[in-house]
Formats: sequence, C-alpha cells, structure tokens
Amino acid sequence: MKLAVSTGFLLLLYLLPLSALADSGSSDSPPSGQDQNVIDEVAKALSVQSIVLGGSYDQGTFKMFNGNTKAQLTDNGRTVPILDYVSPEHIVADMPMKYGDAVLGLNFTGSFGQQNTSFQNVPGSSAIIGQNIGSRVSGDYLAGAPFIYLRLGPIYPGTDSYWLFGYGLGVALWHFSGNPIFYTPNGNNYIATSMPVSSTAQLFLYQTWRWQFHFGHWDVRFEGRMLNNRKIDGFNTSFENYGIGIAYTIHF
Amino acid sequence: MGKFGLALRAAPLVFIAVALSGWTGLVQAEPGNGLGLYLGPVHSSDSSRYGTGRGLSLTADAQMAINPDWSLNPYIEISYEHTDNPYAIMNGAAGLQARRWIGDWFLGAQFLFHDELVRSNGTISASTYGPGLGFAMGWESRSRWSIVFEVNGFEGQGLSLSTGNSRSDARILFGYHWY
Repeated sequence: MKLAVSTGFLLLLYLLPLSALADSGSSDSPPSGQDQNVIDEVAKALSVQSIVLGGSYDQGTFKMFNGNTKAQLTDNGRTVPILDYVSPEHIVADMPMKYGDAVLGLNFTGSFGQQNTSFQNVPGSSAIIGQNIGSRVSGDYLAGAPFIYLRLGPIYPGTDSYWLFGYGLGVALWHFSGNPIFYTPNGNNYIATSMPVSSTAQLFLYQTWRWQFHFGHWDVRFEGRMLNNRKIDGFNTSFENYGIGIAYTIHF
Repeated sequence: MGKFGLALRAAPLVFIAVALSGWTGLVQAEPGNGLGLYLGPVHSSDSSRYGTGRGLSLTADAQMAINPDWSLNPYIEISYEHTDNPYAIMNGAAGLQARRWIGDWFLGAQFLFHDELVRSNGTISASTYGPGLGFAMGWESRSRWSIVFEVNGFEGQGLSLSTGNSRSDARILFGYHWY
C-alpha cells in the first residue's frame, strides 16, 4: 500500500505543472462580473465581526498524570453549546479559482467552553468509554487564539458558501475542580487513590482545529480543542474536546 | 490480503470504468462546483490490531474547480467494517483531495485526518487517530455519476502520532455530484 500511495503521488506531481500556470487567464474563466459578485458574497460576510451560536455533540477528556500515576475522566459524549466570537477576516494570500477564491485567512476566534467529566477511564477497560464510579471533574474555560485557515468557495456560484480548515494557537483561562481517581501501577495491578483537585482560573496553552462547511448563516463543523502545558498540584493537566456541531452566525 | 491484493481485486472494476468511459464517448467535461455523495465497499487491513476488515463506506465532498484541469475536494468519510476477529471497526476521516482532470478522468491525492474506533463485546476498546495520505483515480460521466478508486495509508506508516496503528484501506465508491 505504501508503494501504491507513493506511486500515486509521483504521478500527480508529474502532472502538477502542466495546467495550473498555463490556464490562468484562459477563456474558460467565467465573466469577471459574475466572478466579482461571487467573491463579494463570501468576503462581505467575513469582513465584519460575528458571534457564532449553536450546539455540538462532543466528547471531552480530562487527564492528569505524574510519572506512572494517572487519572483520566471523560463525559462519554454529550451535547454542549457553541459560543464563539470571530473577528473580521484578514486575507494573507488569495488564489483565484474558476468560481471564487482559495484564501489563506487569519482572524481572532474566542470561545467559551465547559467541562463536565464524570466517567472514569479505568485501566484495563474501554479506552474511550468511562465508568460511573463516583469520580467527577467539572470546570469552564474562556479561550482565545489567532486562527489561520484555508477557505475555498463559494461551493455554488453566487452564494455565501465555503469550506474551511484552520488551526488556532493561543491561551485559555481554565478553572476546574473535582475528585478524580488516580491509578498507579503496582505489579500486575493498580493502586487506586481518590484525591480532590482544584485549580483557580489559570492560563493554559490552547490549540484548536476546525473543519467546517458554511452555507448562508449556517455552519456544519468538526472541531477539536486542547488545553494543556501546565502542572496542577504537580500533575501535568490537560483537557481535550472533539465534536461535530451545527451553528448559526450573527454578523454585526 | 497483501499490499498488491487490493489493487488486483480492484482491477476489474477499473477496467469496467474504462469500458464505460469508452461506451459513452469521450466527453470533455470540466469539473464544476457542487456537493457529491458516494457509497461503496471498503477493505482495510491493520496487522497490529484486527487483521482484515470489510464493510461499507460513505463519503460526502464539496468539489470546487480551480480551472478546467484541477479541482479541490474537501470531504468527510465514514466506514463501518467487520473483521476476521470479534471486532467491528468504525473509521471516520476528514480530508482535502486535489484532483487533476484529464477529460472525464481524474487522478487525485489526499491528505486527511482520521479516527478509528475498535469495538468489541459492546464497548469501544481502542481508538487511534492521526493523519493519513492517499491517492485516488476516478471517472465521472456527463450525467454526473462517478466511480472512484481510493487507497489510503495512515499514521503508522511513517506519519506516527499514535502508536500501534498500521491501518491501510482501499475503497470503490459510486457517487453523484450536484452541480
């Protein structure tokens, strides 16, 4: 399979220079007036600030570890709200396509999120599904990051529709508390220790990835978020959240 | 099944696609913008986890033409597979495919991110996720029906984010584009 994949890429690379440059400005391009209208629909919508509201089905996982001692709790999947602020778009680079553009864009995205992890991942059991054994950690975070993305659109000429994939790197103000169970290997078994943990609002490294279809005011989005890179009570602490959601954008 | 077994198994279908292309005439179609939906069988292998998996794959994409020769197709894909062992595999992926069109035919290369869940005895026993690379070839008729042959290699094959995953898969997809 590896050979097949490599061969495919070589074939595609061989073809790469043939058309992309030669076809620029060809007679196959749509009339410039139509193209201009199409570009305006997407660019106009992204040139102002917006609030994004919606709902998402997510799975969040909370982790603390120090050496071999680890605690991991999940919410086993739940419905959570989407609440984002998005700044106007800054276009870093722009490549015209047959209809619309491929744009490398940059904005600032702020997000509010909640953590409610009450199912413990027990060693030797499911890696994904936690068990309800009385442990729980809950919290909230406010995150902000410059968000760089590739967007392609419109999908249909004349509409405010595009696809976007982007990555953001910033900080999150996160607080949490609870009573996770820590597991430490002991021969072929584990020693389980319940211990209260608590963190006041502190800055964590924040990363986010988003894969998104946009139609009019509506978005379908797959999103991942990670908060980490800080020790709490001597434990490396992180929260990961992945989900699929639907959201509505309000421009102002 | 060996690495070349998948290609050998797909060869008759590719031949059928070629024959169909000749039968309907050489239509110099250009890629258009629109949404597409594809369904077809998938065959996967992961020697470190479950051996061989067979199932169905569903793909949705949004094709955006760059010019008459090239298009970019962001897509999402899910598959459900049974294996030789008491495991079921659910694999989801989101990626971006570049297509080079040659008449009604295209060659494609894709970069993707996937998450594979291994389900056994009613619970998910393992999850691996990470990036993948692959290529595709396909043919699209004037009536916008298409057939696509796609292979992917995942992170265990030199793109390691999670350990112990050596999944690769191949699928034949039949689909339609709404332009």
